[in-house]
Amino acid sequence: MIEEREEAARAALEATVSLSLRVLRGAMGVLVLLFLGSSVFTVEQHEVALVRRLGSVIGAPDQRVLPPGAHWAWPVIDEVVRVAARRDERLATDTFQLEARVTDVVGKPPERKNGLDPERDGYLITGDANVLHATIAVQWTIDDAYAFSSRAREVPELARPLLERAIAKTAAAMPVDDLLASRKETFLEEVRSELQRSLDALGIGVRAGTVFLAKDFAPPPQARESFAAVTKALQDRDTQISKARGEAAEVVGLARSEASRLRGEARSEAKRRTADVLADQAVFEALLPEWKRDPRAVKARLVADALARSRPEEGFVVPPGEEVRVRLERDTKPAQQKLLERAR
Amino acid sequence: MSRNRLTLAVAALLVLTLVLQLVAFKVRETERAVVKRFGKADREITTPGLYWKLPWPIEEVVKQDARLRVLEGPLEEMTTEDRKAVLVSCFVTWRPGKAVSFLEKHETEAQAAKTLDALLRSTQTQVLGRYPFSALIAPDKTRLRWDEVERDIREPLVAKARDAYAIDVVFVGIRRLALPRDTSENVFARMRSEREARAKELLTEGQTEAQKIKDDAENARQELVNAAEIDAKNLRAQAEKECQDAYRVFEKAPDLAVFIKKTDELPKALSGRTTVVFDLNSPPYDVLKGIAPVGSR
Repeated sequence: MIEEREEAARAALEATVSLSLRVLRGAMGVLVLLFLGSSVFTVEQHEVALVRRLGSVIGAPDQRVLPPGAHWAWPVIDEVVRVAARRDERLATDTFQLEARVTDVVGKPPERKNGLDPERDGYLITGDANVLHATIAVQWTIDDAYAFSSRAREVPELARPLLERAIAKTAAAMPVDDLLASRKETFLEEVRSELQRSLDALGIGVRAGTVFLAKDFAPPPQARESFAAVTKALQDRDTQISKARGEAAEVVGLARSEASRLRGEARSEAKRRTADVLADQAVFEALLPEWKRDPRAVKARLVADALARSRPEEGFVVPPGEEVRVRLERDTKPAQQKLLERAR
Repeated sequence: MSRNRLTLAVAALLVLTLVLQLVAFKVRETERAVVKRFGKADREITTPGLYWKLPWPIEEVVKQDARLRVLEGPLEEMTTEDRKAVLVSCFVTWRPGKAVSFLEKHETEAQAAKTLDALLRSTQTQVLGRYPFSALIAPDKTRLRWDEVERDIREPLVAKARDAYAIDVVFVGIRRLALPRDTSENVFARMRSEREARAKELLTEGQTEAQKIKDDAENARQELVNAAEIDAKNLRAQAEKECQDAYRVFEKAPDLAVFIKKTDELPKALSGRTTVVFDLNSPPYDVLKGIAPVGSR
């Protein structure tokens, strides 16, 4: 009886052990599959990747940067380093801006009295020792993922002081009027070049893109009105010059018309004169033979023709030897009419 | 039998992993490592790869991040060579230098940064005291000596940081300039007066420029009219020249030419509101003698 019980217990134990081993084997199989599966990795569209094997980046220089897509690496011994190298990032600095305070009114320029506290209120010093506020930003991108991953931890940490240096240095060699008006673009381009030079000196594979004014240059509150007066004076000057140009254009235009009129009149007069003389010449040549024979007859005919062409309002012929009295009167009716109208 | 082999393989793998954890370590490209034996630095590893060590507590590995980091100094008041007060903030881009020395000299990275900060501040104060204010602020690039000032801060800082503190300084720059609070008040007063003068200058400039434009236009007008008058005279002279042949013909009988001209002008003189009284002896009215009544109209 006891032997039977022992036999049954042994059989149950064997069955349990066998089941446990089967479960363990299954779990190990799953682990092996997971282990092998973990060696496949994907690189997102905005990234590139590098694979470090036992600490060193593998691959030839032109092949070590992996593009977006699926890739494979050994588990445990390989390490995948992802770098967001395909995305334009933005870095802005408020170091040269007034610090926001609770006393500032929203929507209005901040007010400050006396001097600025340099610990709180940032500003740029220009080449002619004026002071301006601005917020300046740069777009950057990682050009060399290998250089970046081996020398830098993150871009903003390294690039922000370099950007601030480029801004302060460039502004320190430009007069305030250049920064406020005519040479903003030059300033921004010079900041970009200076920043790129210093990034290259670090060798972190970062490229500086566009540098732009996130908040435009503004004079300090203490001198804002004086700067506004200059802006108004600039506008007044431009208006005066523009008005003078308009008037000048009108004067020159009128002069051109006058010159054209003078030439036109002279041309017509010259033509008329030539035509008259040629016509007189024709008449002269026609009458000359007759004139030589009987000048009186020619004279009489010419006078008769002239009188025939004349259109006097009145004509009187006075017989010789008779007394004639002629009274000439003006027609005064229109003048009288005018006087009456005026009197009314 | 096969079950035992599998169990053995798993066990061997586990043991191997444990042993590797104890005796092997990896150094990345971004790292430096120091292997210490019983607490004393034994060797320095600067090349990436897999390395061996004796298990703890005999040997221990200390790693350092070899990538660049930045130290930004505070705004610090300094006096330039020409006795002008200016606030300057510099920054240093740095990384640990020789790993063993760095480990000896600095308990932590923060402590190394503190040491470097003190070194930077003392160097920048010395250097800026040798330059005038105009080296930092100049109206044009050619007169600015910013690079020279930075170089003079960088060179001694690089040498001292490397030799005395095992710190590798890669870049030194001035990131901000400012003025002491009371100086900035004077600057604002000057800015205001300069701006007012500039506004007046602009208005005068506008008036002068406008007057010049008007004067130029008047001169241009005069020139255009003068040129047209000369052209007109030339046209008339040309016409007279063209009439010379006719005048020569008229010389054959000048009386006739004059008479023709006079009779040509007569209708013009007698037209319109004109009253004419003729003598009956005058041709052609002499034909009316004995026929026409006197005073006919």
